[in-house]
Amino acid sequence: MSVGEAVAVERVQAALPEGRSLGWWGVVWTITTESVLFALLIMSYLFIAMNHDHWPTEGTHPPELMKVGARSVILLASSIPMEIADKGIQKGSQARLRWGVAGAFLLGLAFIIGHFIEYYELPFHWDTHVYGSLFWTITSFHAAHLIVGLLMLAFVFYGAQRGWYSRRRHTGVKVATLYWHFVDGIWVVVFSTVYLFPHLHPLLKH
Amino acid sequence: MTTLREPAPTVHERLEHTWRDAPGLVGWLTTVDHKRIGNRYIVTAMIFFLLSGVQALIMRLQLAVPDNTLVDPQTFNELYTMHGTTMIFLFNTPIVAGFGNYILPLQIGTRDMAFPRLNAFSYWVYLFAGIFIYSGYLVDQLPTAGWFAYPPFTGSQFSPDMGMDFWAIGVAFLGVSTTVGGINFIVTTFKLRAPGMSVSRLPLFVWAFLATSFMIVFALPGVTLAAVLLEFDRAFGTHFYNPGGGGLPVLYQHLFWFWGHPEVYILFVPATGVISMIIPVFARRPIVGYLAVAASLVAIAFISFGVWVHHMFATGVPVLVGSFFSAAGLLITIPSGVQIFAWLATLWQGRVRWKSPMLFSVGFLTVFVLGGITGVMVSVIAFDWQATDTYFIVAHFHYVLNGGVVFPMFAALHYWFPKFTGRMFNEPLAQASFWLMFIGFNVAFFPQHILGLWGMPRRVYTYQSELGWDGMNMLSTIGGFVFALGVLVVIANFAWAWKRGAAAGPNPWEADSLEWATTSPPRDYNFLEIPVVGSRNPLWNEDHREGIVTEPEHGGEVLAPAEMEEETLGTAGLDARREAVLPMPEPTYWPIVLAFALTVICVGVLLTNVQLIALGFLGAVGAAIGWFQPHEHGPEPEPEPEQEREQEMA
Amino acid sequence: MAAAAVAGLSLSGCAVRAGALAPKGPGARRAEFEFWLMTTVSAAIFVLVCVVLVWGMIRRPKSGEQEGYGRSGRLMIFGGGIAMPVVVLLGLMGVNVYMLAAEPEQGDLVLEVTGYQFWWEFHYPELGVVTANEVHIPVGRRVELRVTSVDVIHSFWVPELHGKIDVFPGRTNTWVIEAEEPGVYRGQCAEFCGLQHANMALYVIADEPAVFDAWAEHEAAPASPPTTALARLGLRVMQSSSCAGCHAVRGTTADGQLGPDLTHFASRETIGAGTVPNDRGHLAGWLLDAQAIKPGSLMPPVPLAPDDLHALVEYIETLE
Repeated sequence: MSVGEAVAVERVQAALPEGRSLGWWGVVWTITTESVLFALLIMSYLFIAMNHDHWPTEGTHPPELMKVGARSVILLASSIPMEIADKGIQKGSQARLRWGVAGAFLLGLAFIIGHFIEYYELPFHWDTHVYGSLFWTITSFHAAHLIVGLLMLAFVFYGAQRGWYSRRRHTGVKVATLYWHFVDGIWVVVFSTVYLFPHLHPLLKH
Repeated sequence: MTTLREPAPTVHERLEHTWRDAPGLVGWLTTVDHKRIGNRYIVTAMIFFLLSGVQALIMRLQLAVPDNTLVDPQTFNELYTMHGTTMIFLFNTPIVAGFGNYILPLQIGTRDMAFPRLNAFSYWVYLFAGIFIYSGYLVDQLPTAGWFAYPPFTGSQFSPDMGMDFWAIGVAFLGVSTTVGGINFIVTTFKLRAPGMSVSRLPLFVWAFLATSFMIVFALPGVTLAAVLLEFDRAFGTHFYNPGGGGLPVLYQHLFWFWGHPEVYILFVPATGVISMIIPVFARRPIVGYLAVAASLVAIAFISFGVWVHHMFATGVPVLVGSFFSAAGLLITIPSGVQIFAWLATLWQGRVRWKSPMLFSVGFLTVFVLGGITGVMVSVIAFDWQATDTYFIVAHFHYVLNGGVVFPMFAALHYWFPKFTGRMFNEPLAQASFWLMFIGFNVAFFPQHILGLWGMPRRVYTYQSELGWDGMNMLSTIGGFVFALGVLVVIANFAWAWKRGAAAGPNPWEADSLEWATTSPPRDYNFLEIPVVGSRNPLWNEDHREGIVTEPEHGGEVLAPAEMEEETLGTAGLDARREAVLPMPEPTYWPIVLAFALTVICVGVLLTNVQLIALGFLGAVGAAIGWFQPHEHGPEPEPEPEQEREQEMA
Repeated sequence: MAAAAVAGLSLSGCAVRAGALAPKGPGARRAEFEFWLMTTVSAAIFVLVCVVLVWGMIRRPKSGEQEGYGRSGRLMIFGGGIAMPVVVLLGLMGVNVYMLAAEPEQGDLVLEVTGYQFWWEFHYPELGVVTANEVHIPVGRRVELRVTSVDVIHSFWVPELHGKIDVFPGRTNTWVIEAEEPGVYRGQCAEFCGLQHANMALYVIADEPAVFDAWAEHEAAPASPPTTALARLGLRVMQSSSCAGCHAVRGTTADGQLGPDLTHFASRETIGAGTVPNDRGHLAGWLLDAQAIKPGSLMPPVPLAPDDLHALVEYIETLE
């Protein structure tokens, strides 16, 4: 058997896309380190909050929950079309990919617009007091991640239009999906800390 | 020992053509070759090492005699801050990454890192962040608060000029490089090991990098966040560390040391990995207690996260909390002890050859035992209250970091120099440089233990003659210069050898691991044929040699496809079975463009210039789009044969 | 090498006049005990490692030692690498906890310590004493320090008496020191705090109780009025110039709070937190241009006519 033939045989055998792609592993570890970053932010929040007798600091009310609750539902719901897109392209469905990504993008966009409206209405800023610093920093860290996620979705949508993805090649979609789920999941933690915790603080402190 | 035969022309030429970089500057800017990137890391880190050495020598001159006025206090404070920052962030971490980049893919028998473009990106970020941190010299505004930069001193009230901004932004930016590098090492080790390289056959160097990379992924956000919040306080008036606004200065210390303590192990664990490769080779025997050493590396990675308050005993932490962290600090001695005794046992049972890499390794061993001992001492709280923030601590961490990292890095430089360049250095000169460095090091740093016990705090620009600290300080300065002389001899030796050294051949040390199974320096594609690994010391075990050859048709994958795509082999599972042929990316400009765009953002934050930040952001988005765009799209492959897939799964 | 190192250390220990190895208080004594205990054990371990290392390099391996652990390997890794550290560390953890339990939490006399860039303020609230950089304590009594800072983090450290306690803004840490015998104990800020971190010394002077009581009574009293014409001029200069904006002299209209209290300045040994000796020459130089002596300190140059300067020095040196 000549070298050329040996190579050809090996290629057929080895070309099966089995197991997780490199991209999958890369994004999983990126998510891990980002999660630690958020965990430390949350710990910082709690550390400072527990060092205060009044939280939020005096003169500020705990955040209002109705609007942000509605926004949270929208954001969490956006994981569903994303999952449809990911599963769709694994089965070769370009339509499900496109509609799913577009749906997730629009829901994410709705969330972030609501978020900026909330910023606009806030009675305090990041330099008002440490509560304001924490509130703005943690939520804007999340918003920054969400914007990166939206850019990824836009990129995937563009790629889907160009026909980059198929049953066999869909690492890009997988990466965007995992990242999007991460951004959604981390919101649950951010919401619990930044929005719910101030309501619980008096119970914990006394 | 392996001999090299000229390979079959067709395969070699095809690989050569596929993997070659463009010539000249274009190739230099676009390369994603892990060897070139590794070389760059090492050379850049050595330049920072020399800069930081000059800073250290100026400090030693200032402190050599009491009431000295060689430098003014501002300059002195800048010197020690830049010295520490350079050594930790710009020398130790990157040089370790450099060896990892160059050696790790070779040692696991593959053709590049898992993410070659990301690898190029992390080098460019390192370079730009280093230049960014150092550009404070251009405007003469430098940080002065030491390498750990405690607020509130580092807040804008007490450090109003841009020095701290250079530091905080630069450190946060550099974190991107380190994190990306860590992820790259993990995925490379998980997915690109040569077939048959099961976890129990993994070289200890690779184990060490795996442990270190896990620590990076989990610890690095600590320093990033500490620095980012510091910069927010400075640039935007937030109150995280400002007691006046309800913030807590001690929060910074928790965040910083959450990274800072694992960081010691992030630096030191790869160094032990180097030692675990070198000692067996020069003792001509496989390491004693391979599993115990590998398990120790994993244990260190875990325990290192329980030690951070260790650095804060004097901040008034509750006694119970202090005791817990003290116990964790003591506990980490055990895995370190296991490694030390594994090396000793290997020496005991081996037939030692005295070559310079071995000298540096044994020098490391003695120095590190002393550093470890003083480390145990400062884990005991009542003594730590005396020792912390004095020259005792300065001595301790120089024994751990200079002794425990710089010596192994010099061992590594000597060990792999023939592989990097294909040439041998002058061995007697190398041994002379070792003795200069070893003696100089101990003369420089041992007296500092005593100075600390006598009451000399660290970070003082001068001291009064009545205090009786003169003699020891003078001794320490002399030692520092002897050490520096040793470093210069090493550089001269390497410079000479680079041009005129004797040819080294593929395996001059008769070593056991796969990087020695290819030419020196390795070809662009590393291995003609992806090796198949049958044992822990592949090049020593004749029975398992089937894959370790440099000509094709030995059962390994050649992967030189006619359509000229760069490819390597992906494997899976603990036992590294063949999984997929992975296409590797071409040389590209996007990594350097993205790194540059991020640098523009950093400059924008530094100058609080929104236009620049926006420009950098747009540039980064553009670079990312260019990066991830499939450059060329072949026809859709045939649908996979389902039955084969099922067989594989069964 | 280890033996030489230990010998060197103990020889130097004899020669040293101050520091953590010459304890004069229970806190420092506990640390010293831990130090010598650990140094002794460490030296033994270090010698053991070196012996094994050197012997191991000299000896020829026996046949059959080329694979696996071998008897010696097992002994070293499990004995030296695991069993020995476990025993030593358990012992150390015991010592650690025992010594921490011996740490008192409260004292008999409260002393408030405030860190400033770059000097120390001392305040005995029970005795009405306010002074700077040099403070007296009674021998044999536990003095409870309550330390805080007005600006950045400092660290209070008098090695002969006790280890360090960090001095944070916005937080008060408690630290109990005690001197076993009379003497002057030098301390220094141990956490980098700015340009003149190196010149932020302090002196703790331990007195017999009777001496201490007399000192406290004297310190609590306001400054005695000037008796000579020159000193009276000096007082006027002080009250009318920028001095009074930062410094207080109790019993006069000077009541600034930013700099050290000068009520009994002349009884102190040094100027500028241990920077220069307190004598007329240094004082005059300090008043004219403190930045030349301690660059970066917050004491601005005071432009004074020669006669005014002379009078001011005369007055300040009467503030016993």
